[in-house]
Amino acid sequence: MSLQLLTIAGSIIFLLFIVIGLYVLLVIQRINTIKRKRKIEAIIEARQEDWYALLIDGNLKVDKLAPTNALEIEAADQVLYRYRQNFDSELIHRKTFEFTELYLELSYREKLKSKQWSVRMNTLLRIRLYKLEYMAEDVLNMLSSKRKHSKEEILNIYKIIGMMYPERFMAYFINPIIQLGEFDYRRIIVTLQTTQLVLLIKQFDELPKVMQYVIVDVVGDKFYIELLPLLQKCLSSDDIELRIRALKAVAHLDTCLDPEVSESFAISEVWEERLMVAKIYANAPLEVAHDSLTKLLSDPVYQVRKQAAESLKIIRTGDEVLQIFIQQSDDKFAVEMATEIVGRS
Amino acid sequence: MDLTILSSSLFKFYGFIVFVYMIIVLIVYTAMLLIALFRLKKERKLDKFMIDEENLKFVYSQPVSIIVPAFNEEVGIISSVLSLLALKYPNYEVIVVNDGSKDNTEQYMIDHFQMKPIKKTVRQLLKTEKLTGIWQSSIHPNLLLITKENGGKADALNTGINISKYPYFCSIDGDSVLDDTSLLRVMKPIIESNKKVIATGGTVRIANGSDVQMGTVSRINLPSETVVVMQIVEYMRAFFMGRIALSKHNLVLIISGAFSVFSKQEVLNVGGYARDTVGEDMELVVRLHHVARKNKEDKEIVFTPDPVCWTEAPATLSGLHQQRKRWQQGLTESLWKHKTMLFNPRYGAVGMLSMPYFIFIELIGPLIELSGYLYMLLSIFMGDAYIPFAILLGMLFVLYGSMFSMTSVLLEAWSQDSYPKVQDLTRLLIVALTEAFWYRPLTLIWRAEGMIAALRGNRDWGTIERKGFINEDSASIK
Repeated sequence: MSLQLLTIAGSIIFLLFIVIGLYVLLVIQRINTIKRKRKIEAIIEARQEDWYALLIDGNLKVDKLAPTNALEIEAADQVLYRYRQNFDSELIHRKTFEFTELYLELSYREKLKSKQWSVRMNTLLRIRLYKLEYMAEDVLNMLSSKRKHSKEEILNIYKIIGMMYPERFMAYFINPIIQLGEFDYRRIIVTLQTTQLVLLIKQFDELPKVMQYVIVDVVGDKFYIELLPLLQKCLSSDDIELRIRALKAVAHLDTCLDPEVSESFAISEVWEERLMVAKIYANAPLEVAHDSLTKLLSDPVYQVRKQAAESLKIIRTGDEVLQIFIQQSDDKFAVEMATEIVGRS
Repeated sequence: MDLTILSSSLFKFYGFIVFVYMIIVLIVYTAMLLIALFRLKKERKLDKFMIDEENLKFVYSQPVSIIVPAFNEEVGIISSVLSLLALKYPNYEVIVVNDGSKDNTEQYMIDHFQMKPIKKTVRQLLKTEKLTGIWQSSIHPNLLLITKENGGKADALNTGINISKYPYFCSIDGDSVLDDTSLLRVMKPIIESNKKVIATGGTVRIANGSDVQMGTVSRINLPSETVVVMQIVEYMRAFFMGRIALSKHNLVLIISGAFSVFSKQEVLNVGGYARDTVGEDMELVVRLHHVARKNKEDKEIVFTPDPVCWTEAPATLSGLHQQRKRWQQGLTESLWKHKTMLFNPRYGAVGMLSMPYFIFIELIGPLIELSGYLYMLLSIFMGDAYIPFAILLGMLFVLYGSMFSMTSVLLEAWSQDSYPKVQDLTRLLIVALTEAFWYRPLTLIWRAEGMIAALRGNRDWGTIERKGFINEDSASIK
């Protein structure tokens, strides 16, 4: 027993020493970090007028701010990041590019190879933010390196590929090295230029289903009215999800469909399709929308009834139709809904 | 056999059981600590603000309804709502559900946010007590106040779900405030998982002592009360040593009701919050796991340490007593309700690892630990032969109660640095060292009471006195 007692007492004292040791280390580290931060802030403050002259006025040469040690490199990196976050101009882009190419390229290259995931991630985010094309090859090489990169890194690499290799991006996107979900595709696709999106749409039928859904969503969200034909094509698909998303995108584009197409969706068995077409009818003239929307006011699904009433409220003179409906209908729930919508300012 | 010898042998045997139990618990916690350490090390240097800026561009497609159940929350409700209105998130609504408060919660809300009554059709997706009014703010159209007859927190949350219009809802306590990036960060796992994650919870921190202005924690300070500092240590320990590790393997059974996000459809599918338990937040999480595993659905519930919710902790021992009793009661009720999952392979890792962990360590643990303390006391009266073993056990309690808490304080300081002042860190560490000698035994007694209350079917929430945050904009609510 006494041996056990001694062992545990010894262990506790040992652990206590470790904890105290860690505490001392942490305090020392903290003091050093604060000192380092103060030095960096002092460097930034001392040269802030020069940075302003370089990045905002454009009347200072890049080499006047050449960093000479690690602290100055870090200070420069922080200044550039702060300016890029708060201002957006061609001059800032150009000067940032020039400065980083001259003085930070080596640092970024090393950081891309860092063992620490967070350091690599921060660097990838900066490369994308500053559009550092001279780093493109290094980023591409990450895909073939021995190190296993995380999904977050690979998504950022793909975004950089989309940005810096407008002609080569297709091969990477269609056959990604990791499985991508809907949100992953969305994060990549919204960063593409319209011309790249058109290239993807040319091969629309060959694309993975999830990617098709995202493209349709992005067309609506980013208001690509010129891509309406794609949405119209999707409306005749056998895939219900694709049809619903295409209808939603049409509604986002503030446009309307051919009356016959709209009517066919207004009597669809899929309530989401009826909901979306009720939304689209808000963009149509009353004479086109009247019959379908009046029927949809008594739809068995709450969301459809509500959307039909909201669409009528938006259409000119639709208010009157709602008032008549409230007076004449014997559908208690539909009347309640219409009354609520009419009552809204 | 002589009765004295028999009782002496039983006494020794029981001491041995407690000893072995404590060793097992220590191993489990050490494993959890290591998992948390690796996770925090990975993200320690990440520029989270850059990631936030990135995510802000993509979350527009996932609007959120924030539900704030409020019962007698006049002291903190304005700060809480102000913090919600200042969130960095593109599309959300705030629904304050006044659950029949007897104080001025309703009037303060109406006056401060210029609320006007509106007509609104409400679908009874979940059964709740009767609504008495719906109000909308004239200055913040995305802010609604619902007044209803008292039905408890679960009923208020269910009412909020009925009113909400977005596919995700976030539940926030009426006495809590959020950091402006919290909603964005807590939604990140849901969005990034392509909807596989159906619920997430963030870190809850104690705001006592810190400055709160216009719903924002402007300066973090340690409070003067030792009992609150001790709770800060305890929160660090629970969040950094328990939930991070459990979350990594989809084993989380508790995400704090003070700040969590759920998929509305998934919650509706399982029937909403249960009204017959005082631990409705935990019960809902266990039920979501239960149903998902039963239906063989690949769903996840995660804890994410970044998003922070600030709450006011009880500053008195009596308030703390009420709270801990209630928490343990909620835990007991939730686990009892879903006991069929225990060691049932049908429920995968949740049934085989998570349920045993919560039942044998979190639920029964306090009883065994408490009996260990009693064992030590009794040993003094039983004679010299028992004292060395009692000391041995006592040392294990110090190791378990104090050393792990001290490690958590250091882990927090290294990874999050919430209390950058050296004197604050030192104070946290010293207070953590004392845990095993006063705080731990007290909370063990209260937790045992909570278990008894659950067995008796007690439904009383009790009341905890609230002082409000320091520098809270109190003039505005008078």
